[in-house]
Amino acid sequence: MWSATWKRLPAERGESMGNAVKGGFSHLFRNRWYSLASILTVSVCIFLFGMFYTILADLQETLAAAREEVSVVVFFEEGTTEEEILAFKGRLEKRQEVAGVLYTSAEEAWAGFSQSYLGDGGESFKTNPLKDSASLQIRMEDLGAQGDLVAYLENQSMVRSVRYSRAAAETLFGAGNLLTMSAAGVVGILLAVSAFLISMTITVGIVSRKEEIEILKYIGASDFFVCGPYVTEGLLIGLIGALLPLGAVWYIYDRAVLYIGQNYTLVYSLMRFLPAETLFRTLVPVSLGLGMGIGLLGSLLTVRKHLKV
Amino acid sequence: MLGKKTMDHTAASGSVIFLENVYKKYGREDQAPALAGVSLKVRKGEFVFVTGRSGSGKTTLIRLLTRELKADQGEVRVLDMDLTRLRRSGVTALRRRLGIVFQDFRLLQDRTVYENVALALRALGTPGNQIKGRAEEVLAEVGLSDKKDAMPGQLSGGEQQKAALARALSGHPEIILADEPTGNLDQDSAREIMALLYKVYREGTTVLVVTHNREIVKRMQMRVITMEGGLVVSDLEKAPGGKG
Repeated sequence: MWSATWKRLPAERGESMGNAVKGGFSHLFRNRWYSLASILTVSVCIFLFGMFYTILADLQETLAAAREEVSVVVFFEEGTTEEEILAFKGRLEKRQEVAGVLYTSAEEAWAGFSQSYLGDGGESFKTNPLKDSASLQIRMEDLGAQGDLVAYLENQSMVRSVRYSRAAAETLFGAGNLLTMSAAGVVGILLAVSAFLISMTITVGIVSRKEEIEILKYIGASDFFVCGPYVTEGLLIGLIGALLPLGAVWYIYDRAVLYIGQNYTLVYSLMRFLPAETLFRTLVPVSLGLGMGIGLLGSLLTVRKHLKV
Repeated sequence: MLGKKTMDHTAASGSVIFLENVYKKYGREDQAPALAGVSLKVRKGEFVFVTGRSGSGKTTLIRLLTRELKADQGEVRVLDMDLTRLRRSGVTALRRRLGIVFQDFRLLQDRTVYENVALALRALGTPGNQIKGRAEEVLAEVGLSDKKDAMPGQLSGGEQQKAALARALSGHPEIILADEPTGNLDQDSAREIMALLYKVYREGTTVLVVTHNREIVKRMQMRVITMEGGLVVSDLEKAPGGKG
């Protein structure tokens, strides 16, 4: 009998898949008010997630830009050769906390200074007044490690001075951490609420179809045949619920950036706003994945409880 | 043909149903067991009545045979499957070989008679192009061709039980388990249902009917197992006092 049962499986899988898709749509329309409530719940959660994500992405972009400006600058003792400085640069670039190192030679430093402040008057200088001003500008990968790096640099015999801002580093490091933690917390709560509400909707559907599930189990229907329509229903609720708010998030973001640019020029100059296209390249797949994921999770958790007949 | 025999899956003992010293208890330890050491065998192709008063253990017996319940002690084998060790996928495989008929019909009220049978066939994995033919065939055999588009609520009790029987027979079961199939029916309808079950038996399918309808048991003159207090108290090859 086992072999007979297994032989039947390929055709059965096709039937079960068809049943799952057809049944899923049918359940969605049969419980239309509960389905609508679930879709709206997912929509609200994904909308809040989308808005939160756009704000977070812009803040992170602003922080990243600020990090670029918060760098450690190293000046060298008189007589340090360019080869020694470049060799030191190579060693620094290998350090984990370092994102990048920019070398500025004494000639480049003088050229930049004279062009900015002296114009043609710079040509009257016969020698380079900044001849010992070659420097390395270090961008930090991990701002929290700035203190250790500065201590390391100050211990090097060739280093004359190190310029850095501890306050800026600590503020940016703290702000970055706070943002990451709040993002994880808010997203976690939103997802849990959505999964719970989808589970409630599927429960209502299942309670009204409890007898059908029992009968199907007595007949000898597989768990997949019984669960399929409910899982499809959950996936559809999640998918539709995620698609609806994306348009709203796009519109609101676009208008909000325009409004801030026109009315709050100081905020606009301090913040870095990412283009909506860039944001949505991540937001669309993540939102759809989240919507379908919570739909799948909510339905699976609910339907599993009702299969033991 | 109502029920079709496919393969011989009888146990080594020659029984399609085999219970040995089976115990089943619900609830508290100090309560009397629903089954208190039941042993019985049903051979392939037999027609058996299980009778007894309410609380005698008849329904518990059926629920053990469909593996809705698991025995606390003893051996339960159906179609050579050991139900005390059966996993979930095994339960599905077992039920595909059984046809279960309930006292309250258990038809889906929001689907037509045809859809009820077709759903069962789909659930059993019948290829889509064979569902319509088999559903119509089995509905014709129970005499419901003209009612196939009716909703269950539009049918009499007897017709609803015929529809439930058609659903149970649709997958060519090897055993029909019927729990009080005439309990909600008038006498004429009850006779019609029993006539259909007898026809299924005559075509080779094993039939086990749980009932407390003495009139039917006497009239049919088949094997009768009587239960009382969770025990088999008699097992007669033919019901006593029948017409013979």
